[in-house]
Amino acid sequence: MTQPLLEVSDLHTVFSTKEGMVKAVDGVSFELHAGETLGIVGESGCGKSVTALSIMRLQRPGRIVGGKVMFKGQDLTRVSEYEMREVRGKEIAMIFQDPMTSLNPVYRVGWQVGEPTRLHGGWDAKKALSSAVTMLARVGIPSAAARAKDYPHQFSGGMRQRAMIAMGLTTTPEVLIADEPTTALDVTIQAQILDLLRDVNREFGTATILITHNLGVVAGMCQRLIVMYAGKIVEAGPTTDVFANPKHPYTWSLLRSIPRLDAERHEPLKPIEGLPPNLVDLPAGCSFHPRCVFKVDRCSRDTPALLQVGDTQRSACWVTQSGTELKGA
Amino acid sequence: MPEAATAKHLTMAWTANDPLLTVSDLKVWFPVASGVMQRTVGHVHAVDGVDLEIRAGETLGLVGESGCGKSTLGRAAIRLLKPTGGTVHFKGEDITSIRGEHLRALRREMAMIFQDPYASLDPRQTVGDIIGEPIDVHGLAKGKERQDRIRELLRVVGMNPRFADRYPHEFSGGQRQRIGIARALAVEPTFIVCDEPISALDVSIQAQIINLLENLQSKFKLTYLFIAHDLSVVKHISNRVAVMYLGKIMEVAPGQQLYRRPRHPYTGSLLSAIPIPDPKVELQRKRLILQGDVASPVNPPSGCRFRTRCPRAASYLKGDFVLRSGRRSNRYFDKFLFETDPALLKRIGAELARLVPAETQRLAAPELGAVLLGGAVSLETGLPLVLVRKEPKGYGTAKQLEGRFHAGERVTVIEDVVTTGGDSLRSIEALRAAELDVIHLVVVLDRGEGGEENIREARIPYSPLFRIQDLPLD
Ligand SMILES: Nc1ncnc2c1ncn2[C@@H]1O[C@H](COP(=O)(O)OP(=O)(O)OP(=O)(O)O)[C@@H](O)[C@H]1O
Ligand SMILES: Nc1ncnc2c1ncn2[C@@H]1O[C@H](COP(=O)(O)OP(=O)(O)O)[C@@H](O)[C@H]1O
Ligand code: SF4
Ligand SMILES: [Mg+2]
Ligand SMILES: [Mg+2]
Repeated sequence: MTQPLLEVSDLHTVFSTKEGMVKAVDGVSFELHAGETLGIVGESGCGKSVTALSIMRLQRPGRIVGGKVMFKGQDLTRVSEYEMREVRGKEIAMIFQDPMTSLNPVYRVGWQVGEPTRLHGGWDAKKALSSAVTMLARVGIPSAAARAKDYPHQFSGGMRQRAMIAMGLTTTPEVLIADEPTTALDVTIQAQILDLLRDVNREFGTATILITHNLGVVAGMCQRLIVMYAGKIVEAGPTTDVFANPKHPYTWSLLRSIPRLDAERHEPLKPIEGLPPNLVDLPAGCSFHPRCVFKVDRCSRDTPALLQVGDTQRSACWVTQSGTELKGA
Repeated sequence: MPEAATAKHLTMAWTANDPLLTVSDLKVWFPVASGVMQRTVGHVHAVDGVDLEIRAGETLGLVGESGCGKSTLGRAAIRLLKPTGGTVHFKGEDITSIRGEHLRALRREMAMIFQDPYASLDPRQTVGDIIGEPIDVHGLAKGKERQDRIRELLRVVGMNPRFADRYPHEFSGGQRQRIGIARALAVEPTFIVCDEPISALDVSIQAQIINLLENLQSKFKLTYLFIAHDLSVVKHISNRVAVMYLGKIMEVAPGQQLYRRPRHPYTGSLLSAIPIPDPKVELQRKRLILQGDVASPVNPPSGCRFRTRCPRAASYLKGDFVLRSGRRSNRYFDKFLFETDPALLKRIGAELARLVPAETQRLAAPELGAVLLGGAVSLETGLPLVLVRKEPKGYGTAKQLEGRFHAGERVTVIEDVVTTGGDSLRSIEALRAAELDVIHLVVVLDRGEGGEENIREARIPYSPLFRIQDLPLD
């Protein structure tokens, strides 16, 4: 395989809180290849956003306490803040769940979308604005030249998200990190934004990390997928393989617990019992063991590492690592 | 239908076979104020003429995008809001404007479960007091009996009865939703409006709550109005699903039918937008992506509210295109004549041509369709267009077609109007008899009388440009 564009290895990010130390990202490793769309899924609080923010070095007040983020031969956890700012402005763009909080309410949209080219490309205001208008039109804002003069609150949620994507693309970055870009949007607008991200990926060849809790979104967007639980990657692999044949009990259970639009008959859902983990007070051994229907004795004692299981997948589970297939009623 | 039902309520006693709740032409408008004087400058038409029936023991799902009026409808249905217009009947009784003691008595029959378990529980009250409040308000139990009841309710929703002394912040989202459900059950209601009860919950917890709601329903014979924006969940839990858009119901159907055969283009778009957690399905899915945003509920579009975004209503429909009712010769409906402006015809032709599959080698059109559209279609596609005389109906005999086509040629049929599909089926039959390969049927106007289903049975892919229910008629 070719050299990965971005390589995260054994990343650890922690937060100190009143209740104790939170290991939000606890030994996360993965690669992103040029042009691909990689999905990161998991429930809220499992560390998806902190992983993304740590790549961008925006994790504060959290601290990166271990691991590397290799990008173009440099370890981003070690470069100077000045260099990091260049990377953020030009090479890795990030879009967030709520575009309202990441657009400044007092500046016109066109001005903000042109900002990266002004700051990092050294373009003058006029050139930056005209490229911003082009990009706004490209992401599907009607009458872009006129709408560029609007303030963010004059845009709908979907249009703001389009504007954020336009801003990210003005410098034609190599990596786009989209953190729950459609979670705050209606499904029909979600479909528009996902379609736009597909287009961007095709047209600009931008490698994308798509963070979501929606398994359906991953199914339609990502070639590969990472499943996180309690700060760790529990399963990774090609999307089709993970869905067809999950190798971690959490993935397996999650897939069975969600209703499908195309279900032929009404069958009772099979929920995952118990509660989502509390990162301040994680159970010993495998964090999923209190909710796992496959657990064996050692699960509550020893923490499984993420290892190859089957031809294409990796899983952090004692049971599947020993060759057992996940089956059940 | 709603009128009939209402009239029946007035004349006869309600029985368990009648709808538990009937909403007729319900309107809830909210004033929009502006300026220093805060004068009312308009109204948000949140619910704008809704007819619905909910049968005893069923779950009626209500889906739609944010702001379309779901919660307002739910609130008005249980009289947490006073409707601006229309009526609400519960168990045959008109509850539209009841007040005071009468309304209070009604509150024992109806309850609501809210979306946000964090915001809907008072943080200063203990779980026991939260659940006990409706019991106190209605004077249902006191002292030990009250305590027992609270404990029982906690047990029913799958929580430890000892939690009665704790506070909401000590619980996770899913547990708080269970507390909200216990509170709703406290009055032993018959009807519960569940307003996005799982949207704020973690994915792994949603199924627990869905199953709980289903179990409670069969245990206590509850009737639900289940509001959500996630159609997969709604389809799972509901007997029938109502699809709402900008204050109006676009379509009501059993979930499975809604999914297999959406009758309204908005339902189709909504279904198409919902991701299915299966890459094999997703990767092959044909996506129908709805453009633009929901129009303003202050000035909702005239005619069909969906027409500003409707993929079936092409641009000319939004402005200058008018269908006129014409001669009344048909036994089913008025006739509709297309405006015969040549420029407009050319535009319709161009639109039709887009629907013609690329592998088509030849177009076939019955007489009238050809007259209406022929020039434009053949110009647009560059395909040879065959005008066939319609004698007396359809394509006549295979013999008539001899020499006009080559056997095996792939033909797309263009029709102007389809009602039951009879004409089209006869045409297709004749073309097949002449050994032609009919690969597609494109029609200008589908009158929604089952033509599509009949044609699908003949295994011909079918693309209508308009459907009658979506057209603004003047
Ligand atoms: N407004 C109209 N003006 C003139 N002719 C019309 C009009 N509407 C329909 N027609 C023509 O009248 C004929 C009968 O139309 P009708 O709607 O009864 O059935 P149809 O659509 O042709 O039949 P089927 O649904 O069985 O295919 C059709 O050939 C149609 O082209
Ligand atoms: N600023 C912060 N201070 C303390 N804890 C935080 C902070 N940001 C995130 N965390 C914790 O880190 C964990 C992972 O959070 P996050 O990555 O945001 O989850 P998600 O997977 O939902 O994106 C959570 O337990 C969260 O509470
Ligand atoms: S390691 Fe044990 S507890 Fe963890 S997922 Fe595997 S079987 Fe379940
Ligand atoms: Mg997050
Ligand atoms: Mg016809």
